[in-house]
Amino acid sequence: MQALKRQNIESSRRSNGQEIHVGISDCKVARQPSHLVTVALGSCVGIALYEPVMKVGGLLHIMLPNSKQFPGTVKPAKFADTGIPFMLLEMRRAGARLSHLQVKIAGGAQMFSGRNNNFQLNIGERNIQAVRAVLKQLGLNLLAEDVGGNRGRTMGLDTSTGQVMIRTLGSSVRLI
Amino acid sequence: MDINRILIVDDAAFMRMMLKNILTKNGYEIVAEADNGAAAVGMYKSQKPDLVIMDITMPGMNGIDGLKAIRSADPNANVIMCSAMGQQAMVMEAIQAGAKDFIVKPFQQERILQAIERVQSRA
Amino acid sequence: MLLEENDMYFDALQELSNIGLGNAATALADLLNKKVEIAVPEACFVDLEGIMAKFDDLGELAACINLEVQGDVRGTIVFVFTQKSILKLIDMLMGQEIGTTMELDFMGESAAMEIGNILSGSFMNAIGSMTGLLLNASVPMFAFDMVGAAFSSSVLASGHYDEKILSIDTMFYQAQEQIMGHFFLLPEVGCLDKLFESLGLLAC
Repeated sequence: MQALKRQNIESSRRSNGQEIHVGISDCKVARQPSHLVTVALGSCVGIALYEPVMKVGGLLHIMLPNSKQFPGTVKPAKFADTGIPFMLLEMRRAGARLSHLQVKIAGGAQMFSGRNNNFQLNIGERNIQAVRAVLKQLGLNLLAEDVGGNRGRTMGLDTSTGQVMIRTLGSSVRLI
Repeated sequence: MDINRILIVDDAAFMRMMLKNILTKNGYEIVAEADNGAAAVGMYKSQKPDLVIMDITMPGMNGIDGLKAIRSADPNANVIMCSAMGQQAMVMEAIQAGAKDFIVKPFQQERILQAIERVQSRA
Repeated sequence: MLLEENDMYFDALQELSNIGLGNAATALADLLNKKVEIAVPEACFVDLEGIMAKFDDLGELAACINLEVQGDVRGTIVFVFTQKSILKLIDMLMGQEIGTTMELDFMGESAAMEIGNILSGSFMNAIGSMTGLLLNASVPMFAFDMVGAAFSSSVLASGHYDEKILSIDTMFYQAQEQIMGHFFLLPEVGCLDKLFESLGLLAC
């Protein structure tokens, strides 16, 4: 876990305005100038944190709501309940003041059509609810969101401005 | 007995279209379409087709249950199963429940036409 | 049971999959009324994050068809076809010139689902014949969107996300046309044992 933390901060020092990719069950924190991007959020939820004075940003891509069902897990970024606190720690280590965070979320779509009753279609919705609950618990106010629907999303955070850009197939790019 | 009027049952619109094309081209009339077993039973009772071609894997009521329901409403009903699932046990179950034939997808046009002719000659 | 690649159980699973997919290729050939060949499938056991890493472009459009396997062996089958491949398949299926279908409409979506249904049906028929086990499929679920989004959502919705996924990359060839397809099997806990038992691989 320690090695992982160091790695996240390292990559932010090397960024120089580059795109930093955040994969599934992943979390990256960076100082300006850089773009944190996570591609193809389906039922997963992307959480972007931004501290506007120190200009530090973080992007987390969670897959599932709750880590309690999976004891012994090694990836905090996989779950809403462990990922968001993990990202907060990373943000603080990068110099962010946690009392001044802007929070934006995206994702949690229901992407499938078809009539199989056993298919757990509400994972997206459960992820959204879990993220909202964890944010509330941590005293973080949600500034903007682009959640639900049927389409996959790509989410990007510009650490120079705090702008979050959402891209969906068949739609123009939106800023939230 | 002559087979002219056919009820097509499959949850895939595409498959219904394909079957409709083959059958109408060969002189059969498609009197109704259904996308699950329950709807099939309703259509059968209202349309009284000469033959039903029915898929197995469908949402709600599957084709085997649909077959049983149709046969209990009309013991003389002619039903041909048409499914991607073709294991021995399934074929047996369908035949024992009264299906006249069992066609495994994908099928050649001839296979389905022959199956209908066989039902016609034995009815 | 922990499956390591290169052990006897993994070999058996690879062989089962080869035969299953071979049958699926035959079914595809019959469906298209054309000769379809298949490149030897490469199998590996990987978790979801690992599979995501295999896709070059997670944002690429792809058709994702899910079916649940029920009966003696339970799990989920997922077929992933890139946009180019699924449009080609639909053209072939409809007897049209390749390039005619440029986007997926309602009928195209139904055709794609039916393709997935038939491919997995013949896969399951083959496994069923070999093992004597009964395998049944559910109604297919379909998504056409960024491959990363569709596939990850697929795995999560199946409920089998905490197990390793059997991933088989395979290529179907029809004359000069290449149809790239990914096949994934997500077995329910304990079901692989049943498979191996029926093949006489597990000692009591």
